[in-house]
Amino acid sequence: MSTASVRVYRDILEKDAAWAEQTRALAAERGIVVLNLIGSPGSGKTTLLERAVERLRDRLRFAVLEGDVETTRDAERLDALGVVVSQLITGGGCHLSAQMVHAAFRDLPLDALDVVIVENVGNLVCPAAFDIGETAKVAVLSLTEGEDKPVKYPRLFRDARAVVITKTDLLPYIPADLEVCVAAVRQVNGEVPVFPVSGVSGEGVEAWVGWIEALSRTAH
Amino acid sequence: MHEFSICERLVEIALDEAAARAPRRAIRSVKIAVGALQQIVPETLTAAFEFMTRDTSLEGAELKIRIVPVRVRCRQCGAENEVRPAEFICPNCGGVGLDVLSGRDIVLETLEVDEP
Repeated sequence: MSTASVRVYRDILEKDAAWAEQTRALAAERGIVVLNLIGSPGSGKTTLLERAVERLRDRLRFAVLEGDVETTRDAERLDALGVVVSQLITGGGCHLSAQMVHAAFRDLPLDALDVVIVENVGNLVCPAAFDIGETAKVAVLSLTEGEDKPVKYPRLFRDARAVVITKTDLLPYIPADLEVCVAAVRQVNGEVPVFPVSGVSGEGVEAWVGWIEALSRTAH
Repeated sequence: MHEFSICERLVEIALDEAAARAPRRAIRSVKIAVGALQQIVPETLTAAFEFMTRDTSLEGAELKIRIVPVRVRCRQCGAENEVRPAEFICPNCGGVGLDVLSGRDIVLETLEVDEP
């Protein structure tokens, strides 16, 4: 039997794009910045988020959407900071979907917020492939993971609007070179701002939170 | 492992299109174009496809995956080139301000079906 070719040309991620656009529109109407924090498990996403909220909570109103495969541990940590925290559990899923984020986002007290930080599931590949309606993706990479990660996971570092390199306080103890790491970021994204940060000593935190503040100003 | 999420969406759309455009005809293959920036593992996507199409009208259909290379336009010199995802630098002038023209999306292109 002979066969025929039926032309379709349909975007497989069309539903995700539609959900993401709804979130983006809701956020834009209210001048809310939505940050999508993406990094490996243990790269320091939650700590980075805590430092940002601590420094900025007098000036900006925060909410956090906390993505986890299981457990509400991170949400409990953030609750202590007194910000609105909503827990998203993917039940094994390796990334947050635009639909999940939209449902949680809609339930936030949007009129009383300036910044919503979404902490994605710890993973450098999957979350990078899905638009969740964020204003900006932020790539979080710890020096202990190896300086070559930006080149090995180019999509994330390519799409990121900011790259935060964490755990710089460990530099004296590990065979990692900050400059090499920044060069690896530059190889896939020559224009992105890079923020070396230590959540322990606080070094570099000011520049990172300054970036959030500046982004929030442009959203209003 | 985002291949499973992607596959879920692919199967939904392919079933929908097959029912609308080629009802009651056997689907031989499903052809998709995947941008190199999607970082999918074709073998994983194929395995997911076989698994998720069981007991549907797509059971037994072959998944044909075409990887679309990353093409960029340099904002500095205007040149259009293919680049490797791991090296976003203009091969012409070394510029780093590059706009991605293709290599990002996943599209269901065609269904190959039996003639009625």
